[in-house]
Amino acid sequence: MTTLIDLENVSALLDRRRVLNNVSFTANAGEFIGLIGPNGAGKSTLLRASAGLLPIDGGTILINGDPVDALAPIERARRLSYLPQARPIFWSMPARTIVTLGRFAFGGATAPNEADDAAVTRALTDAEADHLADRPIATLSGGELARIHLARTLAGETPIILADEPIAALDPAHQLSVMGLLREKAESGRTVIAALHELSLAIRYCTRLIVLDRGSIAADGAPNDILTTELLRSVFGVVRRQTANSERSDFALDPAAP
Amino acid sequence: MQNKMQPAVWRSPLTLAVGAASFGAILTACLIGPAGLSLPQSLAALFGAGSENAQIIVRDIRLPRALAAWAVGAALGASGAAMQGLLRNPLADPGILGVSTAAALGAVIAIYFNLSAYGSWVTPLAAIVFALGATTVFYILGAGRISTTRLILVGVGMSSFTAALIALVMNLAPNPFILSDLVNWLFGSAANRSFDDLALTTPFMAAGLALVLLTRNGLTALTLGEETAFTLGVNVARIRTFVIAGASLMAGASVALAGAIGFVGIVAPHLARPFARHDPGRTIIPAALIGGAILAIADLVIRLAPFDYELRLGVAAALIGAPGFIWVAATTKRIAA
Repeated sequence: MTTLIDLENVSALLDRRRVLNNVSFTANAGEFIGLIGPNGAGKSTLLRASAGLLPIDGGTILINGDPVDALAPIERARRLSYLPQARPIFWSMPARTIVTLGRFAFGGATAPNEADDAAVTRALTDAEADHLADRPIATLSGGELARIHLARTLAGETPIILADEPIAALDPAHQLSVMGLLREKAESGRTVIAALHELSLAIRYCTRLIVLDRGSIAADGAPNDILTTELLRSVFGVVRRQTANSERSDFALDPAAP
Repeated sequence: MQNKMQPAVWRSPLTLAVGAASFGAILTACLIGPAGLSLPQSLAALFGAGSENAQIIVRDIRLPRALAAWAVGAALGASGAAMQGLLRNPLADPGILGVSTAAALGAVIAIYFNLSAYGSWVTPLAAIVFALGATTVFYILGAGRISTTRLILVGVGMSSFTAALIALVMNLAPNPFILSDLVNWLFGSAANRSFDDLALTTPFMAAGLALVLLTRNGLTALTLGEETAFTLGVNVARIRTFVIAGASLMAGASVALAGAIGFVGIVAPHLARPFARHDPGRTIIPAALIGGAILAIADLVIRLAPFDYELRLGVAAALIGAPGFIWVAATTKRIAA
């Protein structure tokens, strides 16, 4: 198996507060890793550091074997694409132009060639956003905009996809289809790491979950192995209720919590 | 069908219309005026025929003035478009970093000490030197690294400080004649500009334009914010360096050529934006063409206006431009993130 991302003892500070503490894991091709944990656990920080956006305080982050901060911007962008949690767009360009920016590192942002056009079209189709392509983005709803951002992230067709809450603004049907899509991308040989809050969807679609709690990895493994009653209670303050007639699960507030 | 390419900028209807308007305004400016030349006389003089006096009036007075107005408008339009793209704010002005006021300070000092006695090129040169100095201050402060908000705040501080120094020079003016020279210059005008002035300032404008055009793709990517642009492979620090240097060169050279002329740098990009489908990288050239047309036409209107005293171009630009600014501020929609 190809290791695409390798974190060793990564620590990070935000305003002198330690938000990541000795985080280590390797992510291989074919894995769809759900990064879960309560608000403030360090999920976004971990993704931002992996994308090279945040200087780390200790440890190493290797992207295909190279330290992320040593990669030239274009080379880094060819290896990984990143969907941030906050997604401002400042000018109301056509949606397709925004998606085409995903081809920047391939030289196709403003003068796309056939390969760029094909990748953009595939990404729009994958994100179920074909029909939005010609719309100025100021006219899109929050969920439509989220799919355009997802398409932009997919358009680079990079081996690594880092997505911070990719399904947060989506309706239930699109949540399911996007999770299915990310799983497909992983199965086609990429590594997908997504910060998620939807535990039941994470359990159902991810090949592996990494649970972050106060900056450290609390658990790492196959979804059904690691989400024990004890972990759910101590990290999330919830209990899991398995429904008898399906493999779906739902969660309730821990009645024993103070 | 979704893949159809946008037509190249220079073949778009906008370019043709604005280009025709600019050409028409410059040609008209050469043909009419108070010198009492007939149209055929002026036309002949423009092409180097007819009396020497007529040739001087048309080719050395009217033509450089019209070209100066156009060049200043184009430089301010391009500079404003690039600065707005970099700062992601439709109300950003080429002078937002204080470069224009610094250039004005340079000119004011040259006028105060009557340095133009050494040659008419001294005042514009002083303006350019001060503009470059102000830009250098931004690099010393780390223009590539500091946040956009901080950049704007430092710019506001620089503008205020250089404006205070201008006020100081005026305060110390030893006689009303110097004061009146200073005030007249600060109003902004293309009158009495020569080809020498154009030759001194337009290379800086061209260099600035070249620099900002190099950043076009990066400016387009910056619409997603600096962090996302970074992850797309954009060298954000380099884009900033180039835009600040290029926009400052154009703004500084504009002030050197025609004094302080406001609002064109805000309004021209705003008018150009729909033609570029709001792509900040593709707005630069249309904004330059529109800015050039606006000032060429405005200067022509000023010359034809039936006032006893000629209205200054900077005053006219502000009279039209300030309401335009209010219109931009009031109607710009914010995109839900």
